[in-house]
Amino acid sequence: MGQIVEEGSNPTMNDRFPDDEILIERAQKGDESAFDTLVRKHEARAYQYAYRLTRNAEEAADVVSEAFVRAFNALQNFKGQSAFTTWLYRILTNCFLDVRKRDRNRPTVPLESPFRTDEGELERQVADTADTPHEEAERSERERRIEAAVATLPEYQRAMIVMYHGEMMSYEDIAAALDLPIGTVKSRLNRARLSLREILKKNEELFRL
Amino acid sequence: MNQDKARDFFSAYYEGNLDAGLRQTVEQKLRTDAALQAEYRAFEETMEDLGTLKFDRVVVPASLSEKIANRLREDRLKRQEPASRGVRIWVRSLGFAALAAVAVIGAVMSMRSSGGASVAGTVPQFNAPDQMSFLMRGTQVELSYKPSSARVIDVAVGPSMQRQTVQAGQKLLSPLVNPNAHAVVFNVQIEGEKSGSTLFVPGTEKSDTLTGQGKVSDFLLAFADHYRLPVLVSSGDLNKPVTWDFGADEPLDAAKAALGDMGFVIEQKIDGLVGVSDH
Repeated sequence: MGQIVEEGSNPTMNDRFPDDEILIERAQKGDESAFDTLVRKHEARAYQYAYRLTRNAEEAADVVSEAFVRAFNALQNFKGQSAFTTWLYRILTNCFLDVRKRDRNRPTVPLESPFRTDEGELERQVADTADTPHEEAERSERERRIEAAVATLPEYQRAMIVMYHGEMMSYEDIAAALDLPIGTVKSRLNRARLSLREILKKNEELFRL
Repeated sequence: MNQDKARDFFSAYYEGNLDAGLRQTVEQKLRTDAALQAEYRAFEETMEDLGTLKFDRVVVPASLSEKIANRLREDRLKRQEPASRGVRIWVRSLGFAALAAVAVIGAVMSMRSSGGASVAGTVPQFNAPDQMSFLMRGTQVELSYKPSSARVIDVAVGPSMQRQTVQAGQKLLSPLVNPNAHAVVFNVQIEGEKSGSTLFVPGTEKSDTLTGQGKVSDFLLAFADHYRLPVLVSSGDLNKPVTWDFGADEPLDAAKAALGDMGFVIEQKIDGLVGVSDH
């Protein structure tokens, strides 16, 4: 059975697991099972982010696996100056960028494609709204277009848009995750939004033809 | 303020994060530049779309945990290899022979009903049911195990492992043979038991090296090869650093000199092996 990450939920908030600080301290002392627990605690959230970046289940799983390996190998360098999740976002983003650099020609899964899971294909799921069917259809169409536009942004801009608008991270968290000054994050995110606007404008022109 | 500069402030203006002076400048520019005003309206629309966008619900594949675990395991193995180069060398040289040595369990295992006639004439006596014993056979070791209920036993040499189920009332007899030049480690584990047994079995060649340093496990390999004695470790941290000197004629004296101060107990076991434990 696959696990569905609900919109707006925080998959890391799970009372079953000890605090990250405790697990990290144990893992840094060589307790590999503590790191395995960290993985279990954060893998769903990590996958959600990776999937939103890659829009490809296999590639997202590759990114997440590679990110946890890198995190394990760099754990001794983690000094707790930021939250573990923030650090993990940085590693995930770097893995995503590296994978894309290595595999530039990998085809992108069309947005219209159904999700593929171990259980088979799933219909694309959209959260319920109180809109009328017509409004809902219009919204869905608009969402599809904007998601398609996000998917065509350059990787780094896409990561910023997904972090801020998808993962609901603050400017401060993104700055910490990408090791950038907040001012740089704001200006780059502004450029990403302007790029998105340009892509949407071009797509709208295409639809009119 | 030109158009490019004004665009740089679109997000901050939209979010109300500009100071009063800059805000007035941007507003002035928008009022007087119709094209830029249209751009800003489109930008506002994009921001609203992003704000209400429900990113897809993400289905986490059931295989994700396993995939991550496999990648971590691969990486851990890779990292362990260079750290234990000495061990890797013997594992590599062991090659097919290691597999053959462990496979012996299945091939020559002698099973007999409890109370039946002994198939092998060298069957050691068991002190209690379920007790595993090891008997010295020259420089090699024979494993003997007779469980009171069906149990699974794993014997591993390096990356090779042999698994065998032993039924209640049956007796497992298996030589643990090391046909290689240098000592190897056999790990014997009964499924469900917390701890297993680790045996250092000498190779075919005697080592004349008298001194060395490394981990306790390195010491025990060197010890087995130098004194031509198998060692049975029942407990203790084999990763502790140690230095050794085999100048002593008596093997136990040499082992005690190296490990005695580290809390290890060294003993000559009744079955001929050298026993090492930390209690």
